[in-house]
Formats: sequence, C-alpha cells, structure tokens
Amino acid sequence: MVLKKLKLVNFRNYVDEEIVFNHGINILFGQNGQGKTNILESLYYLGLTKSFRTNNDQNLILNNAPFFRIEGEFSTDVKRKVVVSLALSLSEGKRLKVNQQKILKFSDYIGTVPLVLLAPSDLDISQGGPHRRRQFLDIMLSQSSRLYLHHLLQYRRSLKQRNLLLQAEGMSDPPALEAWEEALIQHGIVLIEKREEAVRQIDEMVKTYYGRLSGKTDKVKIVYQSSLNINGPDSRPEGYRQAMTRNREKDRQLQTTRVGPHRDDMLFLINGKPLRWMGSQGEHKTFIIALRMAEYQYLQTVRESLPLLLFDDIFGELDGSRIGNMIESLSRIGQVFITTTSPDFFGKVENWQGETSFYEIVNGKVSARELV
Amino acid sequence: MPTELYPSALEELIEELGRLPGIGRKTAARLAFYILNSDQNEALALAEAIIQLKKKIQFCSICFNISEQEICGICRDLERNRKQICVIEDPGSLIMIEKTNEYQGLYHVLGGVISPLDGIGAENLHINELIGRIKNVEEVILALNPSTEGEATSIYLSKILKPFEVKITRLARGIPLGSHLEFVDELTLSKALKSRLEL
Repeated sequence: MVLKKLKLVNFRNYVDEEIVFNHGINILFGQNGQGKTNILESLYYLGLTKSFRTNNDQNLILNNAPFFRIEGEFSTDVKRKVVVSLALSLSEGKRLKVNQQKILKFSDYIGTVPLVLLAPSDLDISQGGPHRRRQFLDIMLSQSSRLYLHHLLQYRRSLKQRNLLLQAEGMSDPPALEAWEEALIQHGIVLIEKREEAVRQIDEMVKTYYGRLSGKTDKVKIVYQSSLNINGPDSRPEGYRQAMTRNREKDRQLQTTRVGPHRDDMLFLINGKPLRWMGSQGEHKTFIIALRMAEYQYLQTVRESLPLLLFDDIFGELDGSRIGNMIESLSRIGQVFITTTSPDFFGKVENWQGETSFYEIVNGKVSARELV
Repeated sequence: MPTELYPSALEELIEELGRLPGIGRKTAARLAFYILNSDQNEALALAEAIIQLKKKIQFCSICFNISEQEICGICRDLERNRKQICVIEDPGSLIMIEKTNEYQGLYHVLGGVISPLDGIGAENLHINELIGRIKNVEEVILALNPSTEGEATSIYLSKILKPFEVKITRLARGIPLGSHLEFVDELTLSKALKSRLEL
C-alpha cells in the first residue's frame, strides 16, 4: 500500500488540508504542537477506524465543527487505486466508504490499509501491565486475519454476556452459564492458538531485529503465557471446560471471568531474565523498535501487502548508531511516515540513499520542502 | 426543531412511531408528516390494518407461530411429521423454512435468543413450553441464527434437552448455492471447510 494523497477536513487542528505523499520516507517536521502527530493519528484512524490517543472520537473534531473527514487515496502493490473515506459527524456517527461504496461492517474493512505505528507510549508494552501486550497481539492479528477479528469480537461479546450473568443474582443457573462458557471456549481457543502461532513467528523476527539494532549478542525471547495452563492441543477444549467449571463459584463471587485469552500475557526475556523488571531504558527502547519491525514483517508476510509504517517522534530518544541501524532496516521496506522536531537527523547517516521527502508543519498547514 | 413546536397530536404519533424498531426520531417525524399529508382514507386504512392485526392475529398456543386461530395451521395439520420439531427464533424464520418445501415436521418459535446484555434470559423465551412438547418427539432441529447469541442459545438448549434422550441436530453452515468461492467471505468458507462432507 502506498498513500498518494491525504485529505483532512476539520480533523484536530486541520481545517481543510490536502497533502501529496511520496514513495519511500516522508518526514514531517516542525515545532511541538503544530500537528505532526495529528497526521499520523489520521492515518492510523483510517486504517483501524480508531485513534491511538483517545477513546472519545469527538475529541478528534476541530473545535465547534459538526464533523471531521479523512480521505486517503492509496495505490495498492498491484497499482490499483483505492480511495478510503472516513467521516464522523455528531448527528450521523461514523461513516466509512471504500471507492464510494459504503461499508457497514467495519470488521470487514480492517486490514484493507494495514499499518504499524511506533510511538513513545509503546514503552508501556514492555514496561506496563499485560493489557498493552494483548492489545499489541490483537491489533496485529486483526489486521492480518478477518477470522481472528471475528473470533475476537464474538469472544468479547460472550465474555460480557457471561459476566453479566455472574452479576445477576439468581439468573446464573449452570446451564445458562455453560452456554456462554461453550461460546468462550469455542472462540477463545482460536484466539489462543493464533496468538501462540504468531508469537512463535515474531519471536524469530524480534531476535534478528534486536541483534541488528543493538549490535550486541544479547538473546531476547518472547513467550506466550496463557492463563489457562493447558498442555497440548488435544486436551485444550476439555482442559478449558474444566477450568471454567472449577472457577465458576469464585467467578460468581468476584462477578467476573478470571481465565481465558482476555487474561493472557506475553513474557519478554532478555538473556533469560524478564525485560519488564530487569531491562534498562535502552534495552526497552531497542526491544520495542524490534517488536514493531517484527509486526511489520509479520503483516507483510501474511497479507502479501506492504503496510504503512508510522514513526511518531522516536528519533530524539535514540543515539546515532541505533538510528543508523534502523535506517538501514528501513531501506528495505515500503512507505514510511516519520514525525520529528529536527529534519536533519539523516545527516547522521552517511550512506543514506533512499527516496526521502520533507514536509514542514506549522499550525495545521503542511508544505512540501526541498532539503539538501 | 424543538419538541414543543409540534402540536400534541402530531407529537404523540411521532413518539409512537419512534418506538418501532429501526426508526429514530427523524424518520418517525417524516412518517408522521407523510401520514398527516395523506388522504383521510389512506390514513384510516393504515389505522384499521393495525387494529385488525391485533384483533385477528394471535400466537399459536402450542408452537407460538402467528395464527388466526388458537392453534396454528401447521400444528393442526395431521399430515405433518409429529416426531420432528424445528426450533426457530421468530415466525420470519418459519416462513423461510416452509418456503423450501423440504421440511414436513412441526415448529417451535422461541421468540428470541438468550442475551443478558438485552435483559433476555431463558425464562423470557418459550423454552419451558418446548420441554413440555418433547416426550413423543424423536428429533429437535435447532435452526437459530448463527449470531453469538443464537449459538449460545443453541448450546443452552442442547444442554437442557440432553436428559430427554432426544436427537438434537442443528443446521449446517456452508457456501450459498449458485455463488462462487471467490465471493464467499473467509468466515463462511472456513466454517464450510471445517464441516466438509465425504463423498
């Protein structure tokens, strides 16, 4: 996928802006608070129909405007033109169109514009609680497989239903609970299996990228940790069922479902020690970049399409050699969008020869710039 | 437009129409204005049709299908196979299955599916009545919609019907006839692949 043109209307601090982008690396530079990240946010929203900065979509509408609209004109890897338009209006809600055709089920659309974002808040993935790690897997897998997204949505709905039954006293007779448990088992097993398989694959990739980025021989490893502790695929439905039955009484007291993929985690290890507790700041940063690069490679492999790669203001925190290694990795991939306060960091990389375009951003206005 | 601007008779109709499924306030207002502007006879015919509907149509006391009598035509039909009961969500599904001309058994309309999120539990559906009909039946066919709630309701029914030693089946999932594999969504295709048949 290559984004040729982006149009923003009433989105964040953009009133009505049209930007033409190029292949290769697009650098968005400018002072803080001018709207650099807003552009990445609009791209992310276009791909995943959600923001990575807010859960309240209305925050994205320019002050006092009744709606916002994001329109992206893409060229696929086989040079087909795809126009995606996503609008949110206060009166009519969210509306998505692909090539003028209205899309009613957003879950059928996710993955059409695959993308990977690397942002400063990603450090929470390795340093924070399990929620962000599950979210990482869920977003990656939802973009790569419609089937996964289907099972994820069904699982979440069934979980809500069971938890509601647990809270409603008297209503939670065993057969009713069992019905939702069977649904959880059916969808949950698919989630666990797909996640485990994906973790096995990105584990290899992260190892490679981590080595390349750090230039060191530290051994990193990713392990999927299921809250169910079931060994072997044959015993899985039965083991899952037993765990649900065993936990039912306690679940009823706590009014929530305590095992299943919604409680699973990923363990990141560096030289056999848990990164979350033992890693230095530098190791965390390098690991997260390697993880995002692995996500990129994973999506590219399964979708056979080049995702967009979005980097939100991360170079300021990295030293020259890491930037060099990263740029070298970048040169092998498709379209990249980078926000930065200083456009000159490429000066640190002597032999950089890829196609690079520069855009200066001042108070919601974008101008293409020639920099030598 | 603020609510107070409508005369009360109009406002009342908008409110009533707005209660209908899939109709928001805007659509309700449009319909109300349409009725207001329409011919007197046309409006009365609509009102009369609604009155007659509620007067004449009732739910079959056995299977809860819609019926003009206490017991519906299908339940009264002695030609039909009384050993089979097909369980469906609503009368709409019944009509679709009848159209196939493939099914000669009886029906049982549940009147919905279990969904705690919508405040619908097993006790709100015609499940006890289904159990009451089960003794001379050989097969119960579950034909609920393949939604999360439909699936869970099928599981629930299979669990509570188990002690009655009746054969429980459910509709197969697969590729629509006359379609092309290219145009079938991944989900349906993967389900069809899982429940493939040996030739």
